Amino acid sequence: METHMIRSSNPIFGWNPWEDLRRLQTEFFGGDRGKARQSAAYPPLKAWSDDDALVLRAELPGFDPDSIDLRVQVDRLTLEGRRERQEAGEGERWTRTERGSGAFRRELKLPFEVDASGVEATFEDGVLELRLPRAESERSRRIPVQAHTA
Amino acid sequence: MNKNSNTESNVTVAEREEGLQQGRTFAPRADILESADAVTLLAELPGVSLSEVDVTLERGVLTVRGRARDQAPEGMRAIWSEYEVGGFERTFRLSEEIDAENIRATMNHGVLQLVLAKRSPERLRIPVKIGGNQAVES
Repeated sequence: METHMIRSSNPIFGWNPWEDLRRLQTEFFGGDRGKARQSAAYPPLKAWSDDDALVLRAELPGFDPDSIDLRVQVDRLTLEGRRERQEAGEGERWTRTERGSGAFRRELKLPFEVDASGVEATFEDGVLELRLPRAESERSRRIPVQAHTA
Repeated sequence: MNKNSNTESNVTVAEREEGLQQGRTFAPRADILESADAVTLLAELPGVSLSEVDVTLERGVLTVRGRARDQAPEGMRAIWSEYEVGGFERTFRLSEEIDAENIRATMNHGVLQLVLAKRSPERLRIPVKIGGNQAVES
């Protein structure tokens, strides 16, 4: 069900390298999700690639960067994080709570093997950006074609 | 950061149209914490910096707008997308009297925090005129 929703929401990309691992992710927002911007998986991701690297962005507003845990192994990426709603103090009360809280875990199969030691991560305005360089074994080698003159 | 208690309505409309032309607009998810003297609003605006946030309070209607940066990594091919980037806009009707000149806005990792101070009760007291047979309150 979940996999289906995600796939149909991305009709322009016919290929989904992460599909098989989606079932491993745990629910973060529960029933509270999707009031404003619908997405079945948390955090929502965007990805780009070229011959050198994969770039992933994840929207994680309100997360402390220290609470985000990243692990990369060959072609697997695990993203984990936690965010708690501040306790209402004396004489205070929450009158609206739409933002989720708790922990998330998302595990991805990357479209290619990456060099884990070269991964760069930045976090700006609540958007995590990862740059994962292709492993040497994944880089396409250019083979010169020699003209053959008889 | 623009905090304006007296925005012309046509200006508001113009900004809204411009926002829609540039992409989709989303309603940010929000939490509200209330106490006796303040209302604290937390709104999720991932990808938006404080300088790209616009907050107006007009006749008890608080409007929050923002625009996220949407720059794809240069020369790369998009291969997956689970969220759209565009504008954020949401309005809140405030039931309490809020001091429009006293709104504090901060941005913390993509979450806008607005602390809206309630006016002290003394300033809210409106003199009751006794005229003829009717007491008029506003």
